[in-house]
Amino acid sequence: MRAFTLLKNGFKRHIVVIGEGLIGSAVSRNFSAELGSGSIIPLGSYTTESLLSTEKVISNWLKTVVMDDPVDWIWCAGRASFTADVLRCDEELAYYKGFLRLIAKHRRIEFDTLQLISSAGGIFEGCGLVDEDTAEQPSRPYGRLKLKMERIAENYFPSLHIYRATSVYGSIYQGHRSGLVTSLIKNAYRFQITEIWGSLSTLRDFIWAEDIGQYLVRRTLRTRALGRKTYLLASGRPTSIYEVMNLVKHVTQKQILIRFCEPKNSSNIVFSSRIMPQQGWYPTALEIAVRKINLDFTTS
Amino acid sequence: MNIDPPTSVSVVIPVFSGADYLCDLTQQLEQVKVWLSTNDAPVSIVEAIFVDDDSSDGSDVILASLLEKYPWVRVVQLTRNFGQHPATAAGILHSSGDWVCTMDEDLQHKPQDMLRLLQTVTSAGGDICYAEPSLGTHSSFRNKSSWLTKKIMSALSGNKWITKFHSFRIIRGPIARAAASVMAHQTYFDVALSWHTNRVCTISLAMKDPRAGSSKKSGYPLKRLIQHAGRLFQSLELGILKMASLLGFILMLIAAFVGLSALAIRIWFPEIITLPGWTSVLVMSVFFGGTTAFLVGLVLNQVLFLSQKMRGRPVFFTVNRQSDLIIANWLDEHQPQK
Repeated sequence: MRAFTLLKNGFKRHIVVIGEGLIGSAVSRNFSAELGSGSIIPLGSYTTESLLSTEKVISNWLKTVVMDDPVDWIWCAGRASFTADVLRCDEELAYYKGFLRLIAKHRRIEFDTLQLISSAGGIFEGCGLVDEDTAEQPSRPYGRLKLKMERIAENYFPSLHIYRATSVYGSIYQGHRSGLVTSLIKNAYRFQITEIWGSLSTLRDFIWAEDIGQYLVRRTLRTRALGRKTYLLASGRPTSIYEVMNLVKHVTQKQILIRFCEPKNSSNIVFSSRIMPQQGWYPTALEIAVRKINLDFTTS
Repeated sequence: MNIDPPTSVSVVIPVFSGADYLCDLTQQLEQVKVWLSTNDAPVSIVEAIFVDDDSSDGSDVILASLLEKYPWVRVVQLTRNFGQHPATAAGILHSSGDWVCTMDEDLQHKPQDMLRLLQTVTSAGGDICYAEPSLGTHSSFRNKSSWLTKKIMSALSGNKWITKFHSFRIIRGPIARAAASVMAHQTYFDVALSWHTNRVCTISLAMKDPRAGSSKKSGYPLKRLIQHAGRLFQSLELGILKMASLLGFILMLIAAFVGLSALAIRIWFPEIITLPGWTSVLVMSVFFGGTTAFLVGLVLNQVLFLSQKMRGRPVFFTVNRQSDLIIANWLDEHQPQK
């Protein structure tokens, strides 16, 4: 995890980003741009045993660096993918619970804030057009995991902000998932097949991980928002797999090779723009982000 | 048998000068929506997407109030006036319905008739249903010139549906979005639709432009209509281009025949051609002319191929028509309210 320190109006606050995957790395990058590179606190491997072995390091850091200052914990350490099985999801849940127990053991987290990255796609799978009245109905282990994580967080943190992100895609970095859009770009250059769980007409709402990073930075640095709230991070612009493929083909000027996989998840998941954050959330248009990612890929 | 969840319909309305009509239009859409919901229909209207095409008559203010009042209304604002087809494409690209119905802003197209379009297209197993005005909707001159233009374009391109193109249409959602996503600058939306399907049907409906004959300006003055026709012309693949290489080859064969004939006559019947040098000039002219015609034909074929590729004309497209009959049967049994 990466820790940043914010000094504002004579008050010190610590911001801790847990996870360096697709969203976590984007969040860390954006905080680094504002607050400097921060300090890395190693968590070891993604197991509860590893957490136990790093407990001393974390508790030392909390006692000596953080002390009584408030902390914004930003959880971006999701490991399970959309199609993860129960075992994989249980591993992530155990790790998450272990982490929360660990920090609760060593400090009074009722003065801290948890900002939890959750998944709108997993929680509202099969709901079609999601608006204010749509009830959560996860239909697979991944969606149920995300909902459970939100409920567990409510038991620990009076101040909790949940960000339900839709289909996220990110820049091309080694070592983490990059989302469908980026996978299509990478595989186009490598003449590899992209696996798709859906059909050509399947609609999704794609958002760029950098937008999430920027939004979290704006929200966190502007003011210390307390209380409980859930935010939907979506673009409000339904996009079909067909459209994404054509866009990537047009930008990369390469053939796109795809394979449709079972189990198929061809039901649409799109979101009404009414339930998106009305302030501070500026999703980048898909075409612009695709061109940027393509440029990064071809020049790296 | 019902469908769970119901098949969804998105309504897309480009707006340019609709301030006088938008409130009534939305109320009528709501009546249809409520009627479908009350009668447990296998189809529901999930959203109405108004695309503000840089309107200048206060439509944007009215749209803002409609957005507040109706949770199923969405507004997409374009940065400048792009025209009806781009505005329609923008609205469609923001839609999520299994079916997309497009209509004009001025109540020329009755929202209740949308169900008749849907009934027709689902009964026929079609993908697009156009409304066909049973009466002329505009002035006689405008109606006739529009008809003539489309007739000429239809003959030139071989696309028989051009004369049926109409802004009041219902389209299968994935096809609408696919066509909208490959639309380029100056592409006529219905031509892009025709690249994806030829399962087109029509239904005759009574329509009248409320602005015709009144002092109210139509949203589309003459200059805009001419541009519209130009857009249609540019979008089409003219039939003659498809036959370009064949025509060039035929011309080359004719040229070869003429040249060889002239040569044969010169050799075996020299008394027929008395003018010195005439045969040589003729042979050279037909040789270069025929070769040029053939090469130009090849080049035009390649241009057509590249043009199709650039426009995003798909190699293939797939759809699911499973729920069509359920919807058609239900709409047959339940008459929509007037």
